[in-house]
Amino acid sequence: MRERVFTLPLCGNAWIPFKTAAQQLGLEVVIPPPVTNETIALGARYSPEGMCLPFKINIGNYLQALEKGANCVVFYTNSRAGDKKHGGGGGGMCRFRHYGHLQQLVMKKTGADIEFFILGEGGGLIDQLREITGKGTWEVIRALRVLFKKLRVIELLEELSWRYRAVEKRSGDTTKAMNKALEYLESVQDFGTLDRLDPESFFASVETFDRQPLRIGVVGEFYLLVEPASNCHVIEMLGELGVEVHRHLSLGEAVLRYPPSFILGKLMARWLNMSIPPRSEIAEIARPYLSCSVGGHGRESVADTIRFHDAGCDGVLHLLPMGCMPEVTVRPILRKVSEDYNFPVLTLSFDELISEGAIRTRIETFVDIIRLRRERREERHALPGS
Amino acid sequence: MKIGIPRSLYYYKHPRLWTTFFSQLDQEVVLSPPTNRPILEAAVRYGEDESCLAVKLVFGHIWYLADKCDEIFAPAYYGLEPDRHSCPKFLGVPDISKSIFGPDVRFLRCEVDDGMFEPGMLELGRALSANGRTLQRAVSEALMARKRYKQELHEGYRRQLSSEKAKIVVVGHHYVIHDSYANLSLLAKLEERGMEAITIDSVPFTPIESFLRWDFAFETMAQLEEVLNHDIAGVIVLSNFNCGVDAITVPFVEDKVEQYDIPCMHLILDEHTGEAGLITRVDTFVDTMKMRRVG
Repeated sequence: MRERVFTLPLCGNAWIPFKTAAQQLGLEVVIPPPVTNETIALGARYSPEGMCLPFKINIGNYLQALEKGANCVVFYTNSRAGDKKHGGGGGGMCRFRHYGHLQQLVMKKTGADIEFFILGEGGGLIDQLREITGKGTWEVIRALRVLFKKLRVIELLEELSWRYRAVEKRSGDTTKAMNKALEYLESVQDFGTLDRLDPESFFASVETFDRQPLRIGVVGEFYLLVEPASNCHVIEMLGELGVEVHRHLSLGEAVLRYPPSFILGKLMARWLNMSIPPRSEIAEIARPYLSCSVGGHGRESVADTIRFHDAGCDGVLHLLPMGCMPEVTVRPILRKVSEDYNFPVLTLSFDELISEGAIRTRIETFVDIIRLRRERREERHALPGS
Repeated sequence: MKIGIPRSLYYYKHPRLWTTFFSQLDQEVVLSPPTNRPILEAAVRYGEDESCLAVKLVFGHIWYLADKCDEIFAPAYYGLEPDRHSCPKFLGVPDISKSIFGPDVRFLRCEVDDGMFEPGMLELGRALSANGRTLQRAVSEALMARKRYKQELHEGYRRQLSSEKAKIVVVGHHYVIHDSYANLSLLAKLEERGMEAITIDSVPFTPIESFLRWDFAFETMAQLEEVLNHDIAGVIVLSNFNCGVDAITVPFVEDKVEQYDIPCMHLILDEHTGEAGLITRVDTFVDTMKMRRVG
């Protein structure tokens, strides 16, 4: 049998914890080069035309990793989100559930000699990992523990960087600090060190203005939220325009909402050390507009738009890959929410043909509008007796 | 009470089920006409621009029905078997309609999960204050009507198989194949050219092991297994532009048909499709098949 060299689809900075866990389990891994326009074009060339952007980027990742010597793909899909009526969501009803199998077919058609491991489908995640790695349950769980802890630290760093970027004095300081932090994190191997880390300390070198920046919540399809190259780096763009960004879903949260098994869900919640609103609460918030799940995170997008409004954000940005089944379904509903709450919502849909310039124009306009709205509101408040 | 049924989406899968159910309960049923120009225009106006044509069309039909009935019937099919799903876009139809047409348009809902029609029907019937015996009869009559419709489809399929003409299998969602205005009468065009057009939904099947979880995808793969073993001249796959389910399913369909060495054409339609372009492609495809036959 040939030596297996693993690769996986890129998903923002999540490759760092995945790489650590793979190394701890004694697997050889090749991380695909960062997503560029070339990756997207390569993926789009071989993927079915009607597939959504994340799929095409995944294919681009595999092809580029193949060149670097990978011969196995590990793909995680959540097929457990089966409770259709009440909790259904995650990968359960949208195209994501079928990604693994179609990617396998697409890669076969390109003539690539590549083996696929679709985790989270049939049998337990831990059993599958044991089989692939030949390690024991305990070792697998230990590696997963480090994986999720590291993922959480990175997500916290990302969220902090969006706060700092909006108020940094010298443009670029935050990005520099962030890169340094990620570089350091790549080498950390044990849970204890990660647990004791103070993410805030990495940004001590960033000098900031003392002002209240505009705040925008980002909702939508989760791959677009976590992979900056898939959304033309809108979050950074917003930061540079002095806007603080909050996202409604991170990768850790997405997995935690629809965990691979009950016990792993409980463990993950401990490792990630985060609490998420229960599904019933999300459903309750969305109910006046949407009475059932529409797969993916469609219902979350509706509920979280309302939650961002209630939390005092200045606007919401809704990101989706063109034709995304759940997010396209909720788009008219978000329009209605925006109308009812008098709350700005901008929807941007992305495919392989999108250009950064077009996105930048729309983002700048949107920011101008919400800035004007805020100034007007403040003026009104300043008038006596109003 | 007047109950409006949009002639779109599920209507084409179970055309007699719901009409029978409501008439048995002594309700007046208003069925929207087959898609026509005003309905298509309304669909484009009210539908979400990134939806597929079929989902836009349902809003066209709801627009037509809005002032002609008291309630509009929009069933929620979660799946026709355990651990299978239907398209999530359909589930949002009533809620989206409220966002588009305002709260005055009222909807009757009936949930169908794991292919269980009865619980939802009983609940719906009680909400319409039908008495126990009438309701029981309505349910069984409706389910019988559905069964009979299926049998008729299968009989038609067997008749078609014994035909002398060259046979073309048309694969696609029932609401795409049978909406002849929206698909520019593809079936009639094939028949005019001397072909026997077998629609995939008429093919009986035995379930096969599959990782495909959508009802349509799952059934289609099983049906192909049955139909491709007969003497089939060609396969036409008919999709709506931006159909999410087809984006996954069609590559597997094409792969399957390729294994049988049968010509396969994938047509993607939306409201902008011109008839001349379609005719050219159908003509070419039919000619290709004839040439293959001659040798």
